[in-house]
Amino acid sequence: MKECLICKWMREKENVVCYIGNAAIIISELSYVKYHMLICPKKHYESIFEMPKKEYNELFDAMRRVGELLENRLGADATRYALNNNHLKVSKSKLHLNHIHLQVFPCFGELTDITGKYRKKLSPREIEEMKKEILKHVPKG
Amino acid sequence: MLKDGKNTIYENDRFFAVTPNVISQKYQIMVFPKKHIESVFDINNKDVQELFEVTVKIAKHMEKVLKMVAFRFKLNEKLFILKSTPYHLKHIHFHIIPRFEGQDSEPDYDKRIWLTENEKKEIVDKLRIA
Repeated sequence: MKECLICKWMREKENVVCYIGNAAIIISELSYVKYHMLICPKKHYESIFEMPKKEYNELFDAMRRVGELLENRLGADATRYALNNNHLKVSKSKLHLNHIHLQVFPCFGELTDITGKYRKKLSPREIEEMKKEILKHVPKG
Repeated sequence: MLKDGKNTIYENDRFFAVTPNVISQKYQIMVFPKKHIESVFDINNKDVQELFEVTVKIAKHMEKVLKMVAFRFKLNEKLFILKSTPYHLKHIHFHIIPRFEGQDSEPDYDKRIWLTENEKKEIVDKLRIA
């Protein structure tokens, strides 16, 4: 069975900016906007209903910290958050990842389109540069 | 929306959930803290901390009652600051947008459907959590 892409990124440490407790902060390879990030539990859960309360609350707390970083230090004016649960059960689209992930889309001056019309694939170099940029502003500890 | 209760499917002392008057997908629900909070950032604010938990519980209820197969949670923060969306609600809220068996493509999240009073009543009667 094909390995989950998010589990692979965490195992190889590609795309992972940092961890906040049990939540991994990952730069989305398919980027809708600069600093588009995913917040994922370390464990492979496919539905929020599988997650213990403590773990999904950690995901939400991590989401809030990332949102604050984007708005207070990385220049975002507003933020959009989305979580798709079990969309692979009804969707034919191969783009959905079945590992739970909370999407964070910063808005810079205008409403970020989250339909995917303007998404682009980032190169490993672009991901690495974005990671460095974000880490400059992550408080230590 | 809360005062006359016609849209309310759930309420406790700190949170409430309603069917909005305008939806993009039938059975779309909005979950709010009762206190007027404009940002999710206050990490120690219990009303923000528990908003997600309440949203998950309502989604669980919707899965059971509606046989909802999938859903999207959506939260937009500070969109009222942007020039294109100055009227966006300042009071933070989660959307729960359901998806059902047979819906091959995602709902059009920008679609606007005005519910009639009868439609609202039907939704509230079906989803009300005692």
